[in-house]
Amino acid sequence: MHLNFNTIQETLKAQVLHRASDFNTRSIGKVVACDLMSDVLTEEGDDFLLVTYLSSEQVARTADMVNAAGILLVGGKEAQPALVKTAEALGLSLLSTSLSCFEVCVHLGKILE
Amino acid sequence: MNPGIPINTTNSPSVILELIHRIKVKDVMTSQLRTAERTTTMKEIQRIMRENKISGVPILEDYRLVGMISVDDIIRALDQGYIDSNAELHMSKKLIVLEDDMPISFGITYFEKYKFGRFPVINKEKELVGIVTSRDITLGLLVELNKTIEEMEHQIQTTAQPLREGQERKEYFVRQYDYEQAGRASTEIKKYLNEKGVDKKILRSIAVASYELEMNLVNHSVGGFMIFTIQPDRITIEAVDKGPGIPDLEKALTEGFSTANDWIRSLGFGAGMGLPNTKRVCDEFEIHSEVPHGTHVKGVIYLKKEESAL
Repeated sequence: MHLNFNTIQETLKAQVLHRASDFNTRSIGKVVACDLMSDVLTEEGDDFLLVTYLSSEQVARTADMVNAAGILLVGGKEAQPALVKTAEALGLSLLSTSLSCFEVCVHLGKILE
Repeated sequence: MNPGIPINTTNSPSVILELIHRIKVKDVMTSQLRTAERTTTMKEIQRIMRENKISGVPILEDYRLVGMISVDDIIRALDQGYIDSNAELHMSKKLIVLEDDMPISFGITYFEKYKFGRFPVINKEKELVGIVTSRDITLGLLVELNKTIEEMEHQIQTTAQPLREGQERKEYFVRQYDYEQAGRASTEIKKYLNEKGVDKKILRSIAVASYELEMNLVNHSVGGFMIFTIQPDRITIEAVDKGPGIPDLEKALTEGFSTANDWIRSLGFGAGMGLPNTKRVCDEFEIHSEVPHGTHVKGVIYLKKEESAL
């Protein structure tokens, strides 16, 4: 099945912290679950969803550098205000869910199967 | 951690620690003093305070400090009706003093520890030479901090070559541990080049190299410059700092090798991928480093891949 922000929001009961203009149209090719921004910067390919426990501004900057489709915060981590602001400024969709990283990956994996 | 000083006294930026130890009490204290004697009346001291806009008057005997009258003592004298009596009956005699040669870190600690509004300052001969308030310390620190940072910014002179025709250059000053600004240079340059129509894939390499180098400056250097030189066929990204330098370049270029502390890691960096990853996305890569003088990293990314491959 196809992965997009609406599916993610529904499946994971995620809260949308910033709805970018391409929220409804952007397709998501793959998922990168990682808390090391340095590793995210080594990822190949655009259009991935960045799944992370980190909630700092640098998450949005990193996602922007590699043209990620958007960001999903897991484990019920509250986004730092600077992160929400930067996501808005950079036009990145930002979601948050209380599910753990593992649970999120299981759900998303099933959708992508 | 030193109690009374609200910063970590072992891990804080060395320039700040150096500052609170280098600046002495005598550098910030007021040395034009309004003093009184044992026999001066409380009323007279009240007048001295009002006219000089001060809140404490030292009581001297032969240049030696014997007591202190504060504005609180005056209020109490007014309240209880002894404003016409002599200072010696009401002055504080158990005095906490600072020495003029003490670093202001002592002063900061004393204000926290003793909750007084001011401290008399004495010299080696035990003579009163000044008074220091927390305001004096704040202002003194601010002035020195300003001077020090100005010097630092001057010190970090860019080493970039003069511009040639068709070249464009953008420079950004990046401060150590400034996580609020970190990444802004890279975000800006990416946006700028995107507007200029640089190919998305190439733009991504530029962004990654720039961001890695910028985060290196924030995490590991004393601060430095990000310099972008844009030519029609290439972009050169330079990260230049004035220290502390990399002791082992070969190791620093090895994936997974990192000198980052837990704090940097908690921010998602310090995986030991920065330099190797920069090198990976660059078409040309050079690094020079000298301990403790600094590091100069230069990465070149071709904007027109086919032509440059020739």
